[in-house]
Amino acid sequence: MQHTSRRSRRLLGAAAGTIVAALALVGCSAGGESAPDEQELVIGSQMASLPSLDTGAITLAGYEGQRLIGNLVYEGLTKRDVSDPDAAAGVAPALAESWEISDDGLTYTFALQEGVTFHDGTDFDADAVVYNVNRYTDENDPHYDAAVGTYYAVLAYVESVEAVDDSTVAFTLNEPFAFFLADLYNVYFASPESLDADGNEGQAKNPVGTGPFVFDELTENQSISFTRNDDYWGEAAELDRISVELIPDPAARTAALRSGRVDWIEAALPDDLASLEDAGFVSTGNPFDWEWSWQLFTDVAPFDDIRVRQAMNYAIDREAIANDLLHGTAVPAYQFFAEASLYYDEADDLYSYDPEMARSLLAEAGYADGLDITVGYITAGSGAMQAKAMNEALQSQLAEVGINVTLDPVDFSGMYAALGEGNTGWNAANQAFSLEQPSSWSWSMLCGTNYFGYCNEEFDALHAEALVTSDDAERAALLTEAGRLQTEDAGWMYVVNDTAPRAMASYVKGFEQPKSWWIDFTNVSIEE
Amino acid sequence: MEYKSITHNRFFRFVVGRLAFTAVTAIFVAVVVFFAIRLIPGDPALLILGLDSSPEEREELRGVMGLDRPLILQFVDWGVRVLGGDLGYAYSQSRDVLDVVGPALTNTLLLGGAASLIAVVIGVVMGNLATSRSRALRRITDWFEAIFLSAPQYTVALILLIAFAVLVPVFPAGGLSSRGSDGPGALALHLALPAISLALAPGAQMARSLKTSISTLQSTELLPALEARGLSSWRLAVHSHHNALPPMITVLGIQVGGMLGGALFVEQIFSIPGLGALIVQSVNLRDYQLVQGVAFVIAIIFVLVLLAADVINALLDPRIRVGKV
Repeated sequence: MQHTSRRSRRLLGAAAGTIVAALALVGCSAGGESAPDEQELVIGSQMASLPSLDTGAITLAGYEGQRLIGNLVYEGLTKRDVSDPDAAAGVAPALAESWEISDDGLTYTFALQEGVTFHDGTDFDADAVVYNVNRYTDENDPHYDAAVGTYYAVLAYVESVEAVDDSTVAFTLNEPFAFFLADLYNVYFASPESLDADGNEGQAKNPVGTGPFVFDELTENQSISFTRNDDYWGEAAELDRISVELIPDPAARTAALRSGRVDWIEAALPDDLASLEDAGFVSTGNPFDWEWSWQLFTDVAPFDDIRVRQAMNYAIDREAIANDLLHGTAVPAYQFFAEASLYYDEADDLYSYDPEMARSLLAEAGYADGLDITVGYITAGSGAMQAKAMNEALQSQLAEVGINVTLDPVDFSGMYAALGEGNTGWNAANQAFSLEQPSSWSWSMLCGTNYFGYCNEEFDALHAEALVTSDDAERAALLTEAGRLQTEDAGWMYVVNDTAPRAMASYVKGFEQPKSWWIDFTNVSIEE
Repeated sequence: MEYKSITHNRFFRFVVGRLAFTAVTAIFVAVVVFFAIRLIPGDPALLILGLDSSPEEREELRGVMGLDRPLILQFVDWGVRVLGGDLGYAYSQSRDVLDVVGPALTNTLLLGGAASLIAVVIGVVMGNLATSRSRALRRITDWFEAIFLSAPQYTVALILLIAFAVLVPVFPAGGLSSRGSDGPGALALHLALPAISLALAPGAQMARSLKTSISTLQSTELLPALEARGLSSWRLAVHSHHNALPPMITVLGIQVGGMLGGALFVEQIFSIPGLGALIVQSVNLRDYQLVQGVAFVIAIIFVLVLLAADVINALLDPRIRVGKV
């Protein structure tokens, strides 16, 4: 037997030698790192894949795609105003310097910014606007692509578009639409010359816009990077470079920040924030218009009874979820609108944590012995927050008043499929979304077209009136009123609004997070 | 001469037979993949267009994507295109499937290759330690073997990431390159942790196989007989490992399948843009052609690896190629 052990020792020695040699090799080649002089911000994003980079199609990667890709390279005529971190985001001019609206609300005449050039050096002018709009709407246009144009529902209101002179463009609408300016914010403009030269395929791989950053490079399924546009018409950015890395796993994002692989992470895990701060990182967050709720199926029992819906809203302890479970990365929602919404009115915060009230409402509705419901929820993805933990907390809170919840987790696509086919077997659905674009409420709120059986004719009338009311204050008042009705109806179980928690290295300066999904990188810098 | 040409012929027939079997497997996989993804609820058009799209708009897009045609026609269409080397169009990324799969395949092969190498090292080292004379050493090795075999790759990956990229930052925390570090050295550093996460279980599995072979051999008279003929201990080791090699290679081949499955989690955690990460995304987006393309490529890799294992074994072990096992 002696030979065996001698043999083993030798082999072991050989193997160990190989490993040591391999490590030494690896160690040597890692030494060549040099500190870059340029200011490069590396962002760890929750995006799972990179979309086509062609204007509207960027939305395939969700609003993250627009925030971290689209808004860097491209611009619209208008944009969301995120300049004041304490105010709800309204509409601000972008490629349009100003506009005039005709009295009948049918003609919008835009005066374009002067001296704007695309990244390929060609001029942005009225002809470029007409060229792009035709590309999105005219099926006979050589560059028409349904998959790009489909994201620009607002353009369905456009009857015609005309270049009045080089720097003036007039849109004629087929019916008045008060959200025209607001909804134009992501209708991007690409260089006509680049489209003529390389077509849609070229734009999908090498986007050419007017934005503050120029597309540099894309590593398939891994990262995308941009360099500063030094010829930018507005205030140029301070950063030389922005890279966005795809890190869909939240724990991996935290590790990437800690190890210095990235400087900034999106959608930080609430549980990680305290330890990140202890380690010298900075966390940011600001409540924004993001409604995390249960959409109750109001056309079938038990939620066809308003008392049961109200009971749900009294039975849950929102503060425990926002403050304890989510460590303050969310704020309680006591009504339809978020506090950061343009349409919020504090007086409409109707619901509080009152289990007694919930029990008596249930008893009144004939459910003194409790009831069973099933709720479908999206487990992860864009804006779902900590869906599993939150829904389990709600489940145990609701059990206290006799509502037994069965949770049915699905993925994003599964939720869409279930809602689209209408045979969910659920009593409620949990998905989070923003109400910042009232023109797209039909699927979530309006009679006959929403997926949850909710119908309030008065709500619809107010909403329809808001769509054609051009005065900002009057329009906001109409929507506030509509929201009040929805809150009184207890159409949803309102839970929390998100604060979009981020974490970044302390050398990242100049970022003030607005009350919005959208952010502005102009003043962000790196000072080491 | 006569004898040799026959064996060569037999070997040739063996390989052709295995290739034919591989083709059948590929067709079977194509059928399963094509229909399985369509069984999961989800409408690609609805996902692309959003919930506020109208049914007419969705129907139109389904038409553009060819999803309104009878399933069997869609399948034949896809099959014909795959045979022509075209895996279709990934609507969720507006790119050809081949353009998306190509770079991902390279990354996964790099990761899988590194993991296989490490697994072999683990297998040989642990297999020998487990048959060493020291009782304590054998115990400890068995211990590690049990841990490696039972620890889920997802957990192993997270633990390694936190331990060696965050707490003791020896390795980068994911990706395949980082600022200021490029080239093969950086690549090796980036691959180390994910490859180790993938290699532990297959390594332990191979160690087990090697351990069995060696202890079987130890219970025979072969080694003492060889020693009696005056062979050096090094030559003895070569003999005993030659005998143990075929089962180890078979185990490695099978374990590659497990690695491809594990890559699904490991690539997510280390944000490595490989096939595993890609298939998760494409299923989430219900991008049928992309899912089909990726799944098909993964299946083909698995089948080819098994084929390679069989061929290598046949070369190593004459009994296999003449069919007298």
